[in-house]
Amino acid sequence: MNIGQVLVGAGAAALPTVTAGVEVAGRLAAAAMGRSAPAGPAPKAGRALAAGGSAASGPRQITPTPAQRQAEQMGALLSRIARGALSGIGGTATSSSSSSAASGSLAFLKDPRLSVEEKLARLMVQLSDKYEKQLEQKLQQYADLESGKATSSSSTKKSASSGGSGGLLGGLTSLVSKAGLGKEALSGSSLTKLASQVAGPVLAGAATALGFPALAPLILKAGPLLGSVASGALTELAGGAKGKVSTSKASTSSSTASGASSTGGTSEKQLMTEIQILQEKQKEMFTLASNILRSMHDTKMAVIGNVR
Amino acid sequence: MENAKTIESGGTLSDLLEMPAEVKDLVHGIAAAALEAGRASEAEKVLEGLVAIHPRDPANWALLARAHLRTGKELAARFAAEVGRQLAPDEPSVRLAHAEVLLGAADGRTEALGELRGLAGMTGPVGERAAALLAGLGERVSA
Repeated sequence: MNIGQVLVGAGAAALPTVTAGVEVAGRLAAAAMGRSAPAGPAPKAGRALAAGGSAASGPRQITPTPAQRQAEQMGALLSRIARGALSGIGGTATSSSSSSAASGSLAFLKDPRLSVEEKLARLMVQLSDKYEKQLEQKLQQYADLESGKATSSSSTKKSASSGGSGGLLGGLTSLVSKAGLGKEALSGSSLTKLASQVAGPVLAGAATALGFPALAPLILKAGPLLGSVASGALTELAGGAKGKVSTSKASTSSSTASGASSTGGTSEKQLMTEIQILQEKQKEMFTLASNILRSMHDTKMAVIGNVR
Repeated sequence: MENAKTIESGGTLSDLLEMPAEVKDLVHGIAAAALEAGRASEAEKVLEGLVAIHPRDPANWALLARAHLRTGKELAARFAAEVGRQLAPDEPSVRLAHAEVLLGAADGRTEALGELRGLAGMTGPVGERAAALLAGLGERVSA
C-alpha cells in the first residue's frame, strides 16, 4: 500500500509533459503581462510543445482574445501561488527543524530544475512515507496494547516524548487549579466535561493569560485529543482513589483489575483517535495535491482550447 | 516554528497577527450585540475566537462566561469567569459576570450574593444590573 512508489512510478511518465505545459503557460502569461519569461528549462518546454502540437505552434500570428488573456494570467498566477506555497513549505521546514536531516529531506523543494508538479509529487511521497510510518507506529502500539504490553510501553513513551500527554495532563490540571476551579473541576467527571465544553484555543488562551505560556502550544497541538487526555486524567485519578479505598477494604484485587481495564480502554480509544487523525491528514494531503493538479490541468486546457 | 516559540514565551496570537485594538473592540461589540439579541451560540463562537487571539483581555472572558451561561455550559462559564477574575479582580464588569456565573453554582451562591451587594451600590450599568439581580432574588437594595 505504499502510495509513494505508485506516485513515483506514475510520475516518471507523466510529469515531464506536465512540466512543459506549465512552462508554456508561464511563458504565455508572462508575454501577455509584458514581462520576461521566467528562468527555467526553456528548450525542454519548446521541444514538448513542438512535439505535442506541431500544427498550432507554427509561425502563425495568434491574436489573444480577452478570455485567453485571462486564462493565461490565471495560469501564471496559479503557478506563482504554487511556487510560493512550495517555497513556503520548504522555508518553514528549514526554519522549524534545527536538525539538518529535515531540511535535507525537503531540499528538493528549492531545486530550480524541478517543476511544480515534480516537487508536489515528491512532497506527497515524503509526507505519505511520514504518515505511513506514524500509522505503523500507532498500529504497533495498538498491537502491544492488545497483547498486554501497553501499560509499560505507553508509560515509557510518555516519559520519552517531550511534552506528551503526561505533560499536557499535568499542565491542564495546574491550569484548572490556577483558574480557581481546582477542587470542583478535578472531582467526578468535571475535567472531561470542561474539556468537552471549552474549545482548545480557549484553553490555550487561558494558559497564556494565567501564566502557563508553554502549555498553550501543547494544548493547540493536542486539539481533538484533549478530551481523551482529560478522560485519561480522570481515569488515573479515579484509579488512585480506588487504590486507596481498596487498601482499607478487603476487595483489593477486583478494584485494581477494574482500574487497569479502564486505563486500557482509554488508551485504546486514544490510539484509535490518533489513527483516525493520521488517516484524515493523509486524506487531506491527497485532496490538496489533487486539487492543485486539477486546477493546473484545467487552466492549461483552457489555454490550449483558446489557442485552437 | 517561530510562532510556537513566540507563544511559548508569553506572546499572544494578537501579537503574531499584529491585530489593531480597534478590531478587537469591534469584534467584542459584535459579540455583545449578538448576545444581547439572544444569539448566544453565535456570540459564543465569536468570543471563543476573540479570547484565543486576545487572551489577556478580561472583558472578553467576562462576556464569554455570559455566553457560555446562556448556552447551558455552566462549567465552561465558570472557567471563563474565573480566568477573567484572575486577570482583573477589581474590574466591575468582570466581577458582575463572575457573580452571575456563581449564582448558578450550588456552592457559590453566598459568594455571588456578597459580590452583587458590593456592586449594587455602584453607579452605571453594572450597579443597575447587580441591583436588578438582587431584586430578582428577593433582596432589597438600598439606593
